[in-house]
Amino acid sequence: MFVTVKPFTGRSISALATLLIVVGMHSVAVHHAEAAIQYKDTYSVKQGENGAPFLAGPSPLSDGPDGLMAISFNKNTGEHVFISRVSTFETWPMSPYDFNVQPGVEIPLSKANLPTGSYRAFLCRLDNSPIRFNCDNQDWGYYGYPTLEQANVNNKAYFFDFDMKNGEVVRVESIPQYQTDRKTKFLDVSYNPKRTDKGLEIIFGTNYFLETSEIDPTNSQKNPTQVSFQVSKRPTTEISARSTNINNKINGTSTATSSTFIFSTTTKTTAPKENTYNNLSVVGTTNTVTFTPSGAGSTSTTEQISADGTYDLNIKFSNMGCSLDVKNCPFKDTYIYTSFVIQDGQLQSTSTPELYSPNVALISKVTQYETCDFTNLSGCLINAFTYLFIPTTQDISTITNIPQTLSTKFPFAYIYDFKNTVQNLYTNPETSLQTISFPFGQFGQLTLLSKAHIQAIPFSSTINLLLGYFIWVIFGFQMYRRGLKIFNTNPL
Amino acid sequence: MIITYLIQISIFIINLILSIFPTSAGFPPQFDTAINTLAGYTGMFSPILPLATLATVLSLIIAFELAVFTFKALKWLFTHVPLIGGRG
Repeated sequence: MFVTVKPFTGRSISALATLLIVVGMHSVAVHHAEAAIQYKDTYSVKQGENGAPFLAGPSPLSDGPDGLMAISFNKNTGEHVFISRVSTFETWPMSPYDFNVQPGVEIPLSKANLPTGSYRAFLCRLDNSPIRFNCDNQDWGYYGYPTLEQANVNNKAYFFDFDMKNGEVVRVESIPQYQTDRKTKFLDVSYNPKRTDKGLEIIFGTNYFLETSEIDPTNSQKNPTQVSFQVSKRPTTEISARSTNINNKINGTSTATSSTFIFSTTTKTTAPKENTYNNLSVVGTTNTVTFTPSGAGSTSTTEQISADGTYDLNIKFSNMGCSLDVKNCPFKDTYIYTSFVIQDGQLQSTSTPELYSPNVALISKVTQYETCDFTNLSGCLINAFTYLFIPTTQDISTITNIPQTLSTKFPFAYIYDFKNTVQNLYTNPETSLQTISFPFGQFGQLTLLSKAHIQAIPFSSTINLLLGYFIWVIFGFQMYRRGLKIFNTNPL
Repeated sequence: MIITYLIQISIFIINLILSIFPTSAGFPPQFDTAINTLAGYTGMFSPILPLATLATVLSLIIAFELAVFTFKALKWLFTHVPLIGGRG
């Protein structure tokens, strides 16, 4: 008996449910028509030789809420190509139970004695071995997959949800969105060096691609508003970062951005020592490469060193305040890395950029529908109200995209741009100069003013605090007068 | 489905209004550089001057005045709409 199934359609879902619950079925062909599904071949499921389940040893079904079973899917050729594992929602991953896999064995879900509840299962390709199955070509052997993402690697898994009720499958739904390759990524990096009166100026640029469907403005980990250029001079491992706003350029286009660092070649005092410095200050407004020593008793001195040396450049997506990974950065595992060498004040060489964008799983929740039949009319009513009043996640996402659209429109783009530029301006220590100095002939650099000198002023913190209170009071008084002027025809 | 249609209609109207406004790239990169330069020099005085507080207060004032200006602009626009604005 052959049944043709098309995933992602209601009819195909029902057919797939039939596939899983009909006892005694001998052979089923499954067609995958959607482009989102990686398996476009025709597969068949055959009755196993002994019909025995895969569950070896103590059944994990009785151990707790996690359900575990396996189903083998045979391709038309009879090869054992798929395995299915089942888990209750929210409990994935399961403990890696060891169980034997026999080629050509099938177990219907209705025989699995799964407890009533909602389940998620995935089909996974075997690596041409009758007893080994894995989703990522790694040698997971007989064991389960520690994470769902590992099962997604290399587009070798297909997910579906189903409900078990009274020992039967009552609902099967394909998970509508499945993707393993993150499209939001960096594409390349460019250098633009030139000599200025301040020293060697290097403008770093990068091309990146933002996939709109992967961006969630309400989730800081999925909302890249900046590109962060992070520079570190060897042998120190501390970084200096500058960020460039990109939120005006969202919507899935390849766009270039840049950030400028200036490396001075005029000073040469002391070479940096490994793990001695906690802050390499390389900002566009300075004419020196300045290190701030760390450690007890050494926080008040800055040290200028030669710009010659080898630098590491890491470009990542960022949000305000997360450029140093102190918070949850967007797509923190997507980056581009390269290194470059400055010698005698010139950019001598650059390494081949290394791009990294991981495989990820994007699983959208499906709407939960109840069973609707003559014995469960309340389920029909619930389904009707669900259909009428619960919007789709796609429609909800269009609402959250409005701020993005607004940020690309005149004059709102200027407001967003200004906000992003001045936000955290004075709370981010990267933007503050440590010293103002100028060359003074044979005496080297003459320090005109330094932050350490200002910190040394007596009662500086108290003065700072009192001035802050004063500003807030003045602000409150000013807003009071302004409000009266607006709402009162006879203002003060 | 009802909520879905309401959302879609609302989004359509909002996008229709936004389509009137030209697409803008925001400030040029030199603006960011200028702001960062200013912050670099003035940030040196942050130990004694509450610059972060000052920036916050200035941002609030700008946001308030912008809101007032937007309100006045919309009010002016409304009064010039025929029939409903009192000048039909």
